[in-house]
Amino acid sequence: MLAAAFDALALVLDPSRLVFMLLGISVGLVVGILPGLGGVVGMSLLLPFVYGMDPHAATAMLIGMAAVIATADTFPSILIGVPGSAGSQATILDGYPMAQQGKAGRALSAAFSASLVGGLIGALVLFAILPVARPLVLAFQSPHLFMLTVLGLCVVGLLAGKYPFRGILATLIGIMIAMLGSAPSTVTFRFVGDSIYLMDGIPLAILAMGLFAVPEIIDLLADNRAVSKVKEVSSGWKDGVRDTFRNRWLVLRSAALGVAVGAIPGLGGSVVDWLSYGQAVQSAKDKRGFGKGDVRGVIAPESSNNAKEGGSLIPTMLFGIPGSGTTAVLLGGLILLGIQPGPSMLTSDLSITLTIVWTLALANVVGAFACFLLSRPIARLSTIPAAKFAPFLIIVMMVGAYQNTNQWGDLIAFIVIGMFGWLLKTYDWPRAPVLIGFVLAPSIERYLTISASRYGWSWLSDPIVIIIGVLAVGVVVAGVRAKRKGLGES
Amino acid sequence: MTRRLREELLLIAVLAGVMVVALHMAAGYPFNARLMPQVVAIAMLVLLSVEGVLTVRRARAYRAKEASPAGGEHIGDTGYEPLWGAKFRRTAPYLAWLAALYLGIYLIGLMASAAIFTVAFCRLVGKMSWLATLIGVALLMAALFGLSEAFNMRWPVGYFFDPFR
Repeated sequence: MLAAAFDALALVLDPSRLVFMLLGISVGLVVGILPGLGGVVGMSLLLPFVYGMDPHAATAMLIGMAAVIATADTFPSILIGVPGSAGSQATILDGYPMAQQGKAGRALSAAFSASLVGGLIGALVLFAILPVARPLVLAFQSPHLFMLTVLGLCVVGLLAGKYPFRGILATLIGIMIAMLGSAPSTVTFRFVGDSIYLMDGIPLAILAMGLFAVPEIIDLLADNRAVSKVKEVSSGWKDGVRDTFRNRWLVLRSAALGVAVGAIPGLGGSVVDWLSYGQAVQSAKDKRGFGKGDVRGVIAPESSNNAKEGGSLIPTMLFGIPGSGTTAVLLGGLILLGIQPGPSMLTSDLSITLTIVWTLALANVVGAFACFLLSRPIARLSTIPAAKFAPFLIIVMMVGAYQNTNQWGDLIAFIVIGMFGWLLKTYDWPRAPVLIGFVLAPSIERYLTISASRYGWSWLSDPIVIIIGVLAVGVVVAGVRAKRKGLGES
Repeated sequence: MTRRLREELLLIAVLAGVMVVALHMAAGYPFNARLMPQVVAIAMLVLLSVEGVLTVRRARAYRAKEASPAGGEHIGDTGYEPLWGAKFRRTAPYLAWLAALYLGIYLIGLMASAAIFTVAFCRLVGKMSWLATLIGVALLMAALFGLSEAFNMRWPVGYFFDPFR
């Protein structure tokens, strides 16, 4: 394993691949800084360009982008009180008051150093879990993988968004969209009518960009979100780093929480920062400063939201169950590159897995240092109104969309899905499960077909299948109850 | 029934309609091809019925909360803002910009449309200076040409004419 790890490091550090990792990191920094855009948007922007790329270079670019978003999204959270992405909402509670008190530099450096440690812990846990998970994952057969995928979809559907049934419905919508085009193991084209374009199905990159980027940009423009104040970020940098080391146990606890939450499909970015903030408040002896500019309220969420990236890659790579929208697009990207997530990630594609681990670690280090170095110009960049960057982003997205098949159908599908995504967003339907359902649909159908053809219906009486099935039903019942209780209380 | 509730129920009804059509179409496929779509469509129809009922109940609860003395609107609470109202009026101009871009791509191709669109948008909506606009557009065009050369990318060409063909 160690020899393979060093081989993978050599692959990542190869200049021809390193440049793509740096490109991914650059895109991740920009996407993280711009409020409203998150990992899915960044991943969707890069996805069309991975066609035909070297798999190691392409994964380094995608992971490099995803890894630094949780670091860069701290800028808008602290400087302007707007979350850069879903995982940096809790940072605002104490980060923004610190900026208002003239301690933006200290808050930012504490956040970056905590992010760096958290991200490295996430990568380390991911690496440590591989040898342990290897025999476990390889023991799973098609019926078990089918049931695990169903369980993953139930969890994702229930945890995404405010309303449990809408989450599950969203995963089913994603599966139905994936049914467009040729059916596996038959020569039937499903739901395509006379459209030649639809025979190959909807490309993942178009679905991801349409569902996420288009609605965000439309809403940013419609809400005329522009922040004009530039905060001073000149001093307090060393204090922030010292704060992180002074609160090292909080950093470690938050990182561990981040990895654990990240590994549960569907939880991920939107809750990990709040859970981490909550445990920081609960474990603190003096709670009075929280919410008024306590640096611990910055350190805890920032450490955990970087660590969760490593955690979320565990189910994504080992079981092919993406934990979030970002990892769903990553999963699609891996499939585009000819890599099938699942047991093969620990055998034939082990070098890709280890490339991902190394990239995650390196991108966190490079991303944190880049944030330190670029903080002053980035502080200005984060104040750009949507109306000034939207036209460029729209053109880049359309160019990206058109590269899928080079047909007008790409542009039409892009805008139709974009409008559908905007409707879902407007009516509080979660969009990440649509993407996850879409990505997982071929696996579910394949596992089901293999199970049925190999074992008939006897696989339904397999003890592991029954246990996972009962677990799935239990998760749905408990999730619906918990959500209804939560909604009732709110 | 509030406008927002009507809109939400319409979305659910449209989704249910699509599922009924999908069920009907799938019936003609071989077993392996129809199994998954049929299972998913039936599950969706069941869940959409439940969601329809829950949506009505949520809307009633929201109205009751608004009517109570402690209720009313809260800052940032846009949970029940209908689409066909203020939100659509805010959004419509940008949808029109997108439609114009698509028309431009159809008529004169992507490269020329991209240049015209970004200049017009930056000047009219972004209120950017001519210098900033031209620098931005020049960088965008250079990036597009660079990508085109490096990755052999293709753009949609115009129906009538395309200066960049």
